[in-house]
Amino acid sequence: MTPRDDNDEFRVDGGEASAGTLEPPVAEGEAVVDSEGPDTDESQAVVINPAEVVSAVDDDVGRGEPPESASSGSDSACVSETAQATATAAPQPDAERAAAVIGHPVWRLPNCKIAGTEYVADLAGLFSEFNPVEIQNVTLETGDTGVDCNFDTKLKAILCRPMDAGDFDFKLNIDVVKYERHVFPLRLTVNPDPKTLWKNIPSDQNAFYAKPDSSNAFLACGDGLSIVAASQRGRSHAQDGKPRDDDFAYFHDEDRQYWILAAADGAGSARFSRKGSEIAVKSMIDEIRLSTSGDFWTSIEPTLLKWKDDGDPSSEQAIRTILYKVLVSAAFEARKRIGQAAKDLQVRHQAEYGRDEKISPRDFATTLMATIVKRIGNRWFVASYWVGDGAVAVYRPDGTSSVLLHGMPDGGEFGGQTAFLTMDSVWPNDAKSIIDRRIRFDLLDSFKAVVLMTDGISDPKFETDNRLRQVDAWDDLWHDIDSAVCFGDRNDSVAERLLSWMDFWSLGNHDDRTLLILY
Amino acid sequence: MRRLPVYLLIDTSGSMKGEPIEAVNAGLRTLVSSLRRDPQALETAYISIITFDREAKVIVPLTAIEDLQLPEITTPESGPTMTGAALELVCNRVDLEVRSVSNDVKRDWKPLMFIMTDGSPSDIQKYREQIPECRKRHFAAITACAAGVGAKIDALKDLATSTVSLDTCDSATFSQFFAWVSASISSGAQSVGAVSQLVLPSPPAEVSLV
Repeated sequence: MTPRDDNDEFRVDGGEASAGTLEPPVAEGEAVVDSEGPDTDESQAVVINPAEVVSAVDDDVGRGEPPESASSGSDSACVSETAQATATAAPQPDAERAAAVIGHPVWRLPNCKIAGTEYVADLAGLFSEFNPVEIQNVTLETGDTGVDCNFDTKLKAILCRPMDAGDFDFKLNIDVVKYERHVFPLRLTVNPDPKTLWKNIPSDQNAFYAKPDSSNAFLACGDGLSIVAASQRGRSHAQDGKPRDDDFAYFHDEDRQYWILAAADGAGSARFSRKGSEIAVKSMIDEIRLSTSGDFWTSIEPTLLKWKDDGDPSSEQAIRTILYKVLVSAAFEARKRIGQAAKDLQVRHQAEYGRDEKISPRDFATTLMATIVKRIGNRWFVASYWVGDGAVAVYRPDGTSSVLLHGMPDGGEFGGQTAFLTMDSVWPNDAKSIIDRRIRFDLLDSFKAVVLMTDGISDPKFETDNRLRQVDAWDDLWHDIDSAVCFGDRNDSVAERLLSWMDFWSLGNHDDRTLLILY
Repeated sequence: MRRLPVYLLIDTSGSMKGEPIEAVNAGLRTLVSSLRRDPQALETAYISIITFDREAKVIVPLTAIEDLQLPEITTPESGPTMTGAALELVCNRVDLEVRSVSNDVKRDWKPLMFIMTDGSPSDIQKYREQIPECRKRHFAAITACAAGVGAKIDALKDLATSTVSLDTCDSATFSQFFAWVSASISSGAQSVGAVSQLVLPSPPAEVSLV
């Protein structure tokens, strides 16, 4: 800020002031001598009060130029009688004349959103206080702010591209007829570009429950199917060197043609949630593998076909019971293991550090989503279990332009509120309500992709729960990813590019991001 | 985008005149400029300022940090402290401005409230009535600041999830308090809704938790 002394002897420093002017362009040598005012077709002529116009003087007088030009006044445009008289009588710097300086309160310019961008501040409001024809000259002083700023006469606006963030004080001088100078202190706030403020501090890989800050994987499964997965620590964690709380795991049984996909999002506010998400996805894979081993699939195949092809309701009920045993039991086991981990950690803290703190499963809070995909003849059985936010979906099932959301996200009244595997409310004492709320299954002719994602992806890409059900939102996302990762390549590079794609910028959305796709 | 709504309630009764209100103005300027430098706060925090003296007024409606322009806060010569009216107003503003329970718009984070006063509520009955109303708005945290020896701590404790006291109303102490408010907002901008109450960072020495 450069506070200036607003005294009568005001001098315009041509070096730092970017002078704008509201005067019409006047051709050199053009003299205006009649009392009708200046002969110009510009509507914003400087002086049009005929009574005041007696002769022509140098148009530079109003700008506070040195007297040399004033003495050659007869070859230029006109100003008021007073100006003429003074200029002739006292060939001294204009500033030494007793022009009245009228101070005004600080005028706040709209904030510049991001340093380094083009900025235009409309000053129409400020100029509305003046009769445009009385304005002779406008100058902008930027002082030592270092901001390259100009006043645009036509737009009545300030144009600049401030390169640094901060608060800057300028001064706008408006000279009007009768030697009045109105001085408006202007204040401009320039925000930094949030992108430049984010830091990427690696998490401590030797810390307790350490986890790599990112991870990706690709698996070619034959038969034109592949799994691609990537998980990226969010900027909000990278900013403080905190670990990634998301996790994923998958399994493929080549012989029996089935897949298990699992993803989890550890709660940001739970101190060991990075471990909670890891335990959750691993337990899910382990438990489902166990319960679907041996001749499990051949034994249930007739039931699946009877339900799908004959519409047999008792078969549907049987499938629900089977999936309760497979999926819900696995999730329950995951929760149990998290409970055990909390107990073990508390004992360890007590033994090693003598700390008496209570460690509960809440400290490991995590969401969990898991999907089983099984080939049945030429068809696909898809079954999911889902607690929390994010999304689980079958994209373009049966060759249709649609999306099958495989469950319902758990949302709260406010943002960021969701359900976690570790919460009692997720485990009502009633199998039917758990199945109704958390289990979905279908037998499909085909699908383009089975997709699991944490809210680090679904929040910026879908915004609301309703958008999750709209296929155009999924189409946009699919094309967006495909153009960046080239799904068709079907090799490790797809996973690497998926991880890079995950670094996408979205204002205010900086959570961990995990995406797991079978396609 | 999910916004973090932050409501700052400032006592502007006559007793705040002079150095205290100057210190508040300076503190707010520091608060805003430090939030501008925190990427998480710059992107998500929205600030509203409500003042209360003989009446409660919205000085700044809920505004993004990047658009925020702080006005100079002034005080009348004297008069009552209508803290209850301020609570009533903040509840109305939350109902109006905070987006919750919808499948069609992005829900905001739970709002935060900071209330600073150097006295006690003149409208004590309304103040009592409004405490349960504030509870219903599900603030992630209500932090009350009792500034100076004249501030009634007991009344604030009934309202707030945490209460702090400042021994003096000078600019050094206020600046510490506002620095702490800024840190609290930053940590609020980072927290995810797994906890029902926001855990605030520990305050500096000049700001004592009571």
